[in-house]
Amino acid sequence: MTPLVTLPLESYQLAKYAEPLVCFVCRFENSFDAETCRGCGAPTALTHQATSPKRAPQMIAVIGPPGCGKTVYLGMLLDLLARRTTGVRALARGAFSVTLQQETVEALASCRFPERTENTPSRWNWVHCQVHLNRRRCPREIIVADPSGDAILGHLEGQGHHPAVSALFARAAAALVLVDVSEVEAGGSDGEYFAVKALSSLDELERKGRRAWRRRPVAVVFTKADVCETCFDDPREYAELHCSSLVQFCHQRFSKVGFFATSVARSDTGPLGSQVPLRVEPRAIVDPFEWLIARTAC
Amino acid sequence: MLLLSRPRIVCVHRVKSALRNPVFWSGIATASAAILLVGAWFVDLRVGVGTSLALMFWAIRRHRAFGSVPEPVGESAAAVAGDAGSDAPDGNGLVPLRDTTIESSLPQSMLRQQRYALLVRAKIAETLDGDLQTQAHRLLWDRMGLVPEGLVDLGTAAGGESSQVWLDPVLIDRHCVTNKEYFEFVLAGGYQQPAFWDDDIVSGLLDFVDTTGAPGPRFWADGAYRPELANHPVVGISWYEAAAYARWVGKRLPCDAEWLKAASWPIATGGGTLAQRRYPWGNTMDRTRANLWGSGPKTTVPVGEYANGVSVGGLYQLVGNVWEWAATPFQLPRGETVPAGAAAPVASGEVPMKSIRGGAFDTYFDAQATCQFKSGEQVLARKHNIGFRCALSACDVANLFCQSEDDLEEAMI
Repeated sequence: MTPLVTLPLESYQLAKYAEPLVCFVCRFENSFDAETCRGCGAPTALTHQATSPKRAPQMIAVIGPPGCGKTVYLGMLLDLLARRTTGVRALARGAFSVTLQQETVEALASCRFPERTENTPSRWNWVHCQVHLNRRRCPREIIVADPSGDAILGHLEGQGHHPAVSALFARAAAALVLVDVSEVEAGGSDGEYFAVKALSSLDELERKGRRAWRRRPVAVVFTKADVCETCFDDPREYAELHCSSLVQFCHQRFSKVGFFATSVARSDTGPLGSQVPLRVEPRAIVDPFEWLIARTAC
Repeated sequence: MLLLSRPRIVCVHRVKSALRNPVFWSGIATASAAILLVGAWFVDLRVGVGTSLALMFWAIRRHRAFGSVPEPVGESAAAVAGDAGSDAPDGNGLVPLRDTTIESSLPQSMLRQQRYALLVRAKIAETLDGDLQTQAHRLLWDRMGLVPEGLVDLGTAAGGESSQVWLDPVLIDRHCVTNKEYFEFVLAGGYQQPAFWDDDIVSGLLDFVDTTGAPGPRFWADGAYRPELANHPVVGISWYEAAAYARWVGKRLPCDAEWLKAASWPIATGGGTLAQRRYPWGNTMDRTRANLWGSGPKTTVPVGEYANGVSVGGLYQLVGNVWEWAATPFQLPRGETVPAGAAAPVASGEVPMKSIRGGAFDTYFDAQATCQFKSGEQVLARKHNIGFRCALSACDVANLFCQSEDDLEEAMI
């Protein structure tokens, strides 16, 4: 028999249950104790974290095909920003924001790449950080979303409407579009077409008004650029030479476009076909992020 | 000033190399002869015509003998010295030129070019006078550190057992090879001498050019380095270029075990175990002792810096500044096992890889800048952060331990 327990009626506790929790990503109204958003599947911890600061955070979407290095790039970017003492610096907010950095660094230090991001929004990498800029007094609240490449691909191919991806595309204040240089050097153009599709999808979302995507900054980042040294010399020239259709599209549809080359680790294909990081030598990782932050309106 | 000094250095080196080049002098002689011949035609002096013709034929013969490829100073001098004893005609039926000036200064020029390792070899050392031998040995002990014989633990093997190997004594360069030192190799025509290169890369030599297409490391221009980088380690060189330079100076690249022993300085502690250092200075990372990510200027530094990070044997910058090519083929890291029956692991594109050691100025993790950590790179890669240092087996040095006790003590210190 259940013992009778007398609890005082705390009205404020009832009140918070009565008020819906609006998902930061898709604006869907969830119950207060939901773990993931019923609308898009994003973790509600992100929303809890995002509602706590005075100023609403801005979102930056990291877009790229599967295997182009989104997670590695983002994890290394956070680690670099967290170690910095001058320039643009970042402090993670919430435990879930540190997890990506921790997993990436641990994996790379032991000469392996982190596991592939799962195709479930609750398992994507969501990072909420406070970005400090030297010239600005107040820090900026930034949420960086690293969705699964398969989810973006599925969304772009129209295989199924992915609410989290479409909500992310609509809400993001800026985008980092990643293109794998090793694939470009091998003569492939899938990465370029993927980038054009993604940018075209962004452009179609909002074409008029102050929030039109053509006004938002887009950084095209060539990842794994250590395989081609000339890419570091002049990424824009490299893009014009190897991804001319992407360059043309960017120039015609977006007013703030930057081209960057980055590299996290020197890797090679192992006998089992998997990529093995031989050593970690980050190059020009922070540049695209700095460029985006400088051009993102407060 | 820097902008002015760089072309000046290039210009001076080019003039010097032209003056040393026999083809240049034969061209001068041909031109002189032609002027004399034309003059004699007008004046009708038979003696003048005869002299001119003789001069011209001599110049043509000299030109054919040397061919169109510039002859490096050291090698031509060595050939001259080697053939000077006999005036027998060579394969082309020509009597080698005997130049007593070059002959007498050959060992000195070799010392200047840091090729002392050739002079301390038994067969050559016995032909040198005592003063030159002393100079060569002084340079040897000054520039190289002795790694004594003994066991070294290469790390845990696949079966979980430690793999210890015995090594004979070896001398290893105290510093990585600098731009200035490598320039001597380029200036001496090292890229035109197939003898210094592996047979399988001779056809690929034309690809080893700098930013202006001249033979040399990748980041040089006009066949020369930037003057402010004279004492920085040479980078932008493939494994083959490193091996060719080592051969030119009479040395070789160290193997993995030799490099590891020099850096970790193992001490037998009894019971078959070896105490090996994690870093050349001890077991704890101290970023003030090495040029790594976050501790240095994010580029190379002169090879003599970070003196507080030397190894027990007195070797500088074994960790940090630049990765160093080793002679050992690279095996993939643990965890990536080769399927049964598969060939030895090679890089994508079937280009073999060689081991690189020590970390560089952009090495991010402490765990990848230890004595034990090794990475690999394709043999043709010419990276901005890979250099090399050379090694010399102690058994190849004549009278290694028979010099004055002061020298020996100094070297051991």
